[in-house]
Amino acid sequence: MVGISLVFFILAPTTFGSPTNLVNVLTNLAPGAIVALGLTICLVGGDFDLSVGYQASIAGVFVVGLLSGFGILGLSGPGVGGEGGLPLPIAIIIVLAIGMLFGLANGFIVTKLGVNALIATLGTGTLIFSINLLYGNGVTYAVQDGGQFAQLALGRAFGVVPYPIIILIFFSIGMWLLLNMTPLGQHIKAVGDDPEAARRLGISVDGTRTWSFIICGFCGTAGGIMLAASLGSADANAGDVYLLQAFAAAFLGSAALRDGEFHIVGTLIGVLTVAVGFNGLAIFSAPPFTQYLFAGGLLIVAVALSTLSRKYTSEL
Amino acid sequence: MTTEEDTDQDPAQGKSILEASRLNKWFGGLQALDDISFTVREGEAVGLVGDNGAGKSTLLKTISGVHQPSDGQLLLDGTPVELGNPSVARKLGVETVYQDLALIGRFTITENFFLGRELRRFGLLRKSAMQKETDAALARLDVRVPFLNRKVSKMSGGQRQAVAIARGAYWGKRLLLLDEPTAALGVRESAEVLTLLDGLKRGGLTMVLVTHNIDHLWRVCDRILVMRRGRLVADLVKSEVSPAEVVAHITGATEATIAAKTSAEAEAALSSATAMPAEQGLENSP
Repeated sequence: MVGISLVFFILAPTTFGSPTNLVNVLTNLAPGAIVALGLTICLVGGDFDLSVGYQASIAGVFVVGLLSGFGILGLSGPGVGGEGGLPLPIAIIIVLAIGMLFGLANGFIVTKLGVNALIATLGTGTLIFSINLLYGNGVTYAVQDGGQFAQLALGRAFGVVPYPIIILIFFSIGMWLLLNMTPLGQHIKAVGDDPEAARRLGISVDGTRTWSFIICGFCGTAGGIMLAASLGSADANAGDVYLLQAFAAAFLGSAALRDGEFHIVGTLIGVLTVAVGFNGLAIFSAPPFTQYLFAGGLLIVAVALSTLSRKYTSEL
Repeated sequence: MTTEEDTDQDPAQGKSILEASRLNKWFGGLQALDDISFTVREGEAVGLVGDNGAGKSTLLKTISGVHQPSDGQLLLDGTPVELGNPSVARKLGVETVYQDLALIGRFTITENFFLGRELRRFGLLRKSAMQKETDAALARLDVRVPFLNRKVSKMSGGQRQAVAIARGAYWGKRLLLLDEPTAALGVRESAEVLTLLDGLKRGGLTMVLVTHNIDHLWRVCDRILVMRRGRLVADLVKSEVSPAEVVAHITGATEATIAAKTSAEAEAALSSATAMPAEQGLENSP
């Protein structure tokens, strides 16, 4: 990350290195970072969740729909000026609850039906996208609530720190505490390391895995809500890119600092790396193909580094 | 080195910790346990031996709550118990050290000690309290591990075995079950584990130990249960038998002898060979 930052800093000291740009980078990366934090919990528990991107997308569509008066079933269509729309906190709580339900469904399919997590979440992700299209018809809707929702992304605490950064800090501390200071966090680590040993020590392996999917769903939809707030609209595909970014960030993070294990601080470093890379490319208005080149290349490099660092430590 | 006899209790006395009464276990049509009855008394170290497939593991897993008997009864401290799963057994103070140790490689000793039984306050882990408990337990058991905060995956096989046994002894207030604790270890590491087991015995811990190694059996155990084809064929007091006789029971040579002679001759042969004849030993055991 330092390397990438340095390159861009030297090439474009005034734009890339400016405090405004740094705050912008942090604000823009917050939604994706929260998705990546959730995915990290899942990865620590030894599971994959390929549905996080679709969860983020549908969260944006749902929250905009609820605020704009679509109703929970999405039947009414947008009301004028948010007529019939739900209050912001209630809409957010409903969408987060839906995210946890997605996680519960993922957990059920993986633990009770015994479907491999990779395949199961590929399937549920696609189903979630189908619900997304059913609810919002795949059309991009602008939020009709009189600007309250946008404040979530544009507002600043004490007029200084943008809310997304505050929310990201809150989620980072929360996930770190969960993973490192609670029994559930210990169980998630144990199940990710050796499920059979964990089972013998009386840990509910299925329950623990399901919880990690639920936390992942919670974070996935939280990130989607924040993305919709910053875009001011709901797009059926808005959050899809977070899947790849979150994976790249988590794997990069696992290669940094500690033995190829996934961990919260590492993921945050990974998120920064990914974001700095994309930001730099954007500042230089690099052609679109380079974005995908960077993203795909980075994912492979990240996983390779993570695998190598694990191999290296096990040979010590 | 104290000899085992110094601390031995008379097996016929002492309070009964574990009693198995006519245990049977079928897996489909296969009878893994056939009418098993025995008693383990307080402070005893009982060896469970037999050839592969004799039913030792099934018996151990039944006592630890992994398997439930198809028929028969288990009593702890004289009270009938239903061990529906390993958690129930653990709550009753019956702890098992598995052959694969059930240690989490990325965890420290403390984290392994308390996994699934974390000390907590307001839902958060009490890390320093758990650390102190673990340090105290290791000191009490005289288990010396170079780096307490090291991941278990970076420890030697002997150290890992010691950690698993220490954890079992810490939680297993009533009874410690050990499945082949020395099978995967080299000579020096085995010796360390055996010393640890000696210490636990001196501390008064009751244990049941499955082993294939007759030397280790002799070193640790006071009594020996021999299983063959799902049946308990001998319940022997170590001081009254020789290793060769135990091996004869394991391989079935004793039974073959019986078959070859008339029943009267067999009785005579057996009573001279062993203090407790195989078949009668089963019926006579309390």
